[in-house]
Amino acid sequence: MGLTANDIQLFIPVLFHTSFDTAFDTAFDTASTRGGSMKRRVFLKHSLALASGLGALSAPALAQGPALRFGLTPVFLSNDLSLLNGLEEYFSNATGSRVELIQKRTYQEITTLLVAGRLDAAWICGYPFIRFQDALELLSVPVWRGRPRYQAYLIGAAGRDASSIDDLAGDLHCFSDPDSNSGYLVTTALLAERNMRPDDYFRKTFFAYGHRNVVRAVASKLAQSGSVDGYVWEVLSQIEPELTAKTTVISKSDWLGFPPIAAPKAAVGTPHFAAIRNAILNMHLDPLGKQVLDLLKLDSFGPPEGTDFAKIAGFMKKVRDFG
Amino acid sequence: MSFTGLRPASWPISIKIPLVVAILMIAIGTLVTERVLAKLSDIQDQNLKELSGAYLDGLSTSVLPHVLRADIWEIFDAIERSKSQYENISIVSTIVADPRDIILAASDPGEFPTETPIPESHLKTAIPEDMVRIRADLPVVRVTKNMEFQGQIIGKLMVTLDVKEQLAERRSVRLALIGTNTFFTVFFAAFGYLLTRRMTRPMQILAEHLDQTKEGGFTEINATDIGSSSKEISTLYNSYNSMVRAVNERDMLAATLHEEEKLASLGRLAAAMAHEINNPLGGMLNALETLKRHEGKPEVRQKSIGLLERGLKSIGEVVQTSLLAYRNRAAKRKLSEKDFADLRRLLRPEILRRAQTLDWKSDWRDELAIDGTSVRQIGLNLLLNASHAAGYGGEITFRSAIDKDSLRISVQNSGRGIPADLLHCLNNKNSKKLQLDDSAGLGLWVICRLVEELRGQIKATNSDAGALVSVEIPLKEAVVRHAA
Repeated sequence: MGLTANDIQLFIPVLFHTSFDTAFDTAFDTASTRGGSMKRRVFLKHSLALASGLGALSAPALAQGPALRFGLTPVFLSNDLSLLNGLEEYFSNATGSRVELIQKRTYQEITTLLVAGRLDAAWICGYPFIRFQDALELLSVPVWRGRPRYQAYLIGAAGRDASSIDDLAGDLHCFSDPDSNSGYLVTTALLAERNMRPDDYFRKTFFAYGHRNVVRAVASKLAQSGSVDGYVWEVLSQIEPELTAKTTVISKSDWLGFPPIAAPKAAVGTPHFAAIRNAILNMHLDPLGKQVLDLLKLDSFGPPEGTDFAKIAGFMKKVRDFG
Repeated sequence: MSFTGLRPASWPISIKIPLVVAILMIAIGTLVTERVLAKLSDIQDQNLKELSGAYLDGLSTSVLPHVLRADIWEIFDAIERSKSQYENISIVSTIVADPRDIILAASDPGEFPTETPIPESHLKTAIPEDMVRIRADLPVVRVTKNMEFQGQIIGKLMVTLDVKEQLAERRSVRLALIGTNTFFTVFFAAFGYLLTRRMTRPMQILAEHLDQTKEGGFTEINATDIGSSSKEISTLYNSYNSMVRAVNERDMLAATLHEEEKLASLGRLAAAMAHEINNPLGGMLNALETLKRHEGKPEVRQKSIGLLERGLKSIGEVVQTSLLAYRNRAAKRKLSEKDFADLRRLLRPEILRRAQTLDWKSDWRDELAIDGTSVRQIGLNLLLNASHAAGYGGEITFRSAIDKDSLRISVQNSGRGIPADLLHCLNNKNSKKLQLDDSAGLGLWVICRLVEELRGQIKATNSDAGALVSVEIPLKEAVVRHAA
């Protein structure tokens, strides 16, 4: 299965929410009902498949429970139905549960839902994870090019003569999202080191809410420079080379912890938490899961142990300290 | 082409009608072309107005909340998305600006950067959405629309539309119309030319046959032309041929009469000469008889010899005068006063025979640079005709004078005047048409012919007193010697 411009949707953490938390029962029921009969049909189909293929889980029991809510935040986004369907099908198969994929425009919306326990799991960014790490539990960290880490890029229009953020003063600058590590925090921290704030350093800034949108803004010269996820830019250079060809990478950050998949701490220890964790960590072992990983250009979803989010925490501290 | 040829009135009808057809076709074609293009322009303008209005309305709706928040990315994204939704209009650029005309986002941020003013050239050429009109001199139409929220203008949309396709369509339609109109104009002009040629062919045939009269003689229209013509034209041709036959017969008759008159003239001349010789001859015979009977009487012999001598001299004068009058005219010689004296002498027998009175006056002497023989012929014929017309006891007046560079001769006679048809022919110098029905006709015919040869003028008038014929003959040399 090939990956097209519309195929890529990098989902920030997915949360499988079993809705046992009575505090959110009403809200969940409302959302479940909104999913409609189609979700139920998918769920039933997958349940039948799991009944024969996934004996490790108590599939019939899970299939009869509430839907698992999977939070997706566009690190780079297009509404690729094949990717969404593949991901939904895989998780349904793997967990034996009916699955809802929840998409929001901003990181903040997904993070809020996740922290509030209204999502079972979500693929979020390292920055909100650090901010809310007391309320969240790491499930997995994606492995890209063999390692669970990535870089933040500063990009400009192709042919621009610049080598660092110091050459970008006075630009019309495009950020991805105010809760994005690579798309906001890293650049803001660099400026904090220089005792500058984005609105002072740049002529004007705006948010495009999506790393692919940042690349589009810079490529079309709507923005003179942009802060973007290095993983997104590299994947785009493979699947949309004509788009990234209009941009140039001005500087790259240090290697940072890859945006993780997290779940509310309240869900830890429940059977569903383990089922979700197993489904994610075994994705690269399953043919359907492998197809999803291929679409995402990822090697696998690895265990969270050993992943270093300290640098992101450091950026956050610098920014907070500068005020 | 001569100046006369430039006047349309002088153009042949076979040119005029096709030309009028062509002019009418061009006028109609121009009018139709103008109306079609105007209608096409209206349709294109209306179509563009509706499309641009729909585009601006749709875009306005989608970007309005983002304009309120000055959300650059969302405005840009909305513009990008709108491109695919309005593929039936060719959008060059779209600009979304704030009320101060500062750009928030544009379809081509490289050309229209955010936070820069809308170019002055765009502001000047932009027109409101309800006044969309394609101009032939501009390949684009720039339409603007204000975005209002709660009664306040919060921003401005400006879309530049590529109208080259519409202009090309107009050019294409114009060329097609011009091509079609030109084809039909040429076709109908050619058709009109051929039709007119065909319709006026009988007139041309008639004109050609009538033109032949300039070269002498009439010819009939041949049977082929008559057979291929309509009934009316055949009738016309047959009438013409009848006229031609009548004229030709008359000419033949005139030629016959001319020959007969020549013989009659010769007879009259012989009779006149016999008369002139007979008179002295009688006297001479009497003198000879007297001389025989009275040979011995010296007075009688002397008197008879004198009579014989005068008689012989008189016969000699008649012979000499005849020789001068009818000798070879090829031997040109100048006119002298003696020629006119001979005329008077030649006329005298006629004058005496008819007991007429001759008033003779000639105001010049010596010689004139003019053909003497021809002038003698003219004068003699004028005088003989005058004598003939004056009748018994009539009066004849002869005048000869130099007037400027010409010799003027006038002969007036009492009695009957010149017949009207001869008078007309004389005054119009048409010797061919002279009726040769009497002796005067032949004389006048000779006069006309000689005057024409001498490049002179004839003027003939009738009055109660009789007829007056004046002849004016130009002199070959301007200076006249011994003019009296």
